[in-house]
Amino acid sequence: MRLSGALLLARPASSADRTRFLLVATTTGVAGALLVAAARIARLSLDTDGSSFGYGLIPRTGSEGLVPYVSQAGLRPGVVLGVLLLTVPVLALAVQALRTGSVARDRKLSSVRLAGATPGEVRRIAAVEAGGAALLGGLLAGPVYLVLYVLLGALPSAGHRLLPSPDRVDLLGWLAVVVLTLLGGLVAGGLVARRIVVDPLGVRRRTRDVPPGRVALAVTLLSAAGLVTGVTVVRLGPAHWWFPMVLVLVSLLVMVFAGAPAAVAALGRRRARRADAADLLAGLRVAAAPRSNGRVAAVLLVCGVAFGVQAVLVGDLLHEHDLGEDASFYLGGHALAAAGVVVALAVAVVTLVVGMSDALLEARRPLAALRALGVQESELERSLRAQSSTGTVLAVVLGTLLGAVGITTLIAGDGEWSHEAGRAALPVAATALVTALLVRLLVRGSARLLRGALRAATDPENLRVA
Amino acid sequence: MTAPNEDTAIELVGVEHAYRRTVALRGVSLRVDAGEVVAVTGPSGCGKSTALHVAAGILRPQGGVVRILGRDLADLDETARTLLRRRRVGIVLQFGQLVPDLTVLDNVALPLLLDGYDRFAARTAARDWLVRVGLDGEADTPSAELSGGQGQRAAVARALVTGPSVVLADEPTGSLDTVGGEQLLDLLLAAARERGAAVVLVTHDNVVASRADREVRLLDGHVATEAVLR
Repeated sequence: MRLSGALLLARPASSADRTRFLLVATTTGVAGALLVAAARIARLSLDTDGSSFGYGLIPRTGSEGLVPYVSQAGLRPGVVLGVLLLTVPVLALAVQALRTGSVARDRKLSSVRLAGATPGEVRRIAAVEAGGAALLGGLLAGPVYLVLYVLLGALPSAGHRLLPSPDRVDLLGWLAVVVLTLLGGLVAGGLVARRIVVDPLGVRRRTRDVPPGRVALAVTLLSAAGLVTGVTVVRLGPAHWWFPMVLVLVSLLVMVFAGAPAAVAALGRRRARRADAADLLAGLRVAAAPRSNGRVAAVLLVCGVAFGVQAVLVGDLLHEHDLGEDASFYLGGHALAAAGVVVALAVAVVTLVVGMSDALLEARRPLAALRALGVQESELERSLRAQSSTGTVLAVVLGTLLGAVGITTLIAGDGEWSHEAGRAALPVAATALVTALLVRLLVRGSARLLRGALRAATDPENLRVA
Repeated sequence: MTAPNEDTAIELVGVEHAYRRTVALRGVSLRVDAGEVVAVTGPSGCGKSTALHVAAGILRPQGGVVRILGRDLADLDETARTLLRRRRVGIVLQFGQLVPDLTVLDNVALPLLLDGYDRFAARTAARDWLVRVGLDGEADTPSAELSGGQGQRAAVARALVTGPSVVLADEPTGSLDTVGGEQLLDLLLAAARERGAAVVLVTHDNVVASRADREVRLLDGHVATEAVLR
């Protein structure tokens, strides 16, 4: 198959294809812009430290007018790390977006198989489709970065700016993002297509979407060991060592993303054991396809960790120190970080909505059958709510506690752990409660948003769809 | 390595297949020579479609031997079977199974495009076939907008555009009225006979079956009777 053939077949023609294409392009565009922004902030160190890297090439843009967290070299890595972490939920949304409209796409790919495409060619078509969307996203990253700059770097008054002015090197960063997103899209599209078996009979068989088995368990345990090792080295090692912190962070991310689907599936099975019909339906659906809920739970858990860390640190600040004029500096930094986490949380909930609306489309025939059998729409809505909320509140609360315990272990001196923990208990409990309520509210709101999709899915006409 | 003997278009020897606990084929043997038209008939659930899907290499049987144009399908992996099907076998199912997003012309050109033809050459060949099936006026219409009969005619054009040696049709007239079905069958058989292609017609319609050279009747997953019609 020539590239022109692949392009013809990968072209987003139906409305579902176009929605998927735009969602993937938008999310990769935002993730790309965040990467360019992180690189720009990181390069400030080179600019102001007079590194030869940018000499003559980079117009020297100082850090005047920027917030101290960005302008002070010692605090800057934390901001860069925060911006990089923000790309995680956005990329999770991009992965979810890749799977939207999969019913129609799989039907189309099945027709292409009947016309003579080999399984490898079908995967190539899927890769080209995702690669095209990601390429557009990469190209959008530049303009999105400029919009971010205007909002966070130009409009705020001096002293409150988060982003330094763009320079020529940002163009190189943008180019790198375009290449990265294109490659990422091609690989992700091919991998998503690997999970489906399209045969020429118009039958699409998804490979069993069961929770990952031994490999995921091994990865989860290994990364948990990495997390404990990292925390221990941070506590005992020299203060300037940075790699144990990176180990902690990477281990945490790998652990939650590898382990979350299995944990969510277990929660689904537990829910299915309840006597209530709505819980039974929701639990079985979650247990059968836990990856979507698992991804969202993983992001929420990481958000919870950030909230837990902040709760302890803010509690510590307010207890220990007479902040005086520095209050706005310290508390402002925490407020900024909390705002970033709330954005991540909101992106996670959008991921949930996208995943649920696609799940509704996929399950429209059984849903219509249930409705035809006399199941009330309110029951189905309750089931939908239960399905979308499985694991979410638990993830954010567990994350908050994990973050609080982790940071307390790191900052407590010898024999001071119980004292520190006791002092942090109240702010941590308050934070866990507020975040749990916030997530519950957002999830309920998302279920409400899906009412229309549910009504469409239960239409008796859907009894006739394949 | 010797070239496979292509005098026999399709050969099934003792083929067995089951869907979980439901046995669909119990030792079916069937031979279709080059240029021959064979109708496979029988009541619903007797295994007609399964036999056709096995013969096309779409389903891997759980027992027995399947040969297409002398090649044992057990020796071919999924990609090789697909390539053999794409180049040498035309398939028509009851519902055209066209790609809904593509135009009629691109649907017919699709097997050639997949095979690496440039778009102009593929479209030229496809356009010739659209003229033959009377759909040249619908070339640029999205296939989702075709009527059932038009869709089947486009599917026949797509099955024949590569010049296959074997045509497999599963209830090709099942979704058409009597006149439309007759016309489609005339078209399919004329094109196949013109190039000496073997045709296997799966049907429960006696009128359709009567157009074949030979009728093989299946019952409960095995060959019940065989009759030479002409």
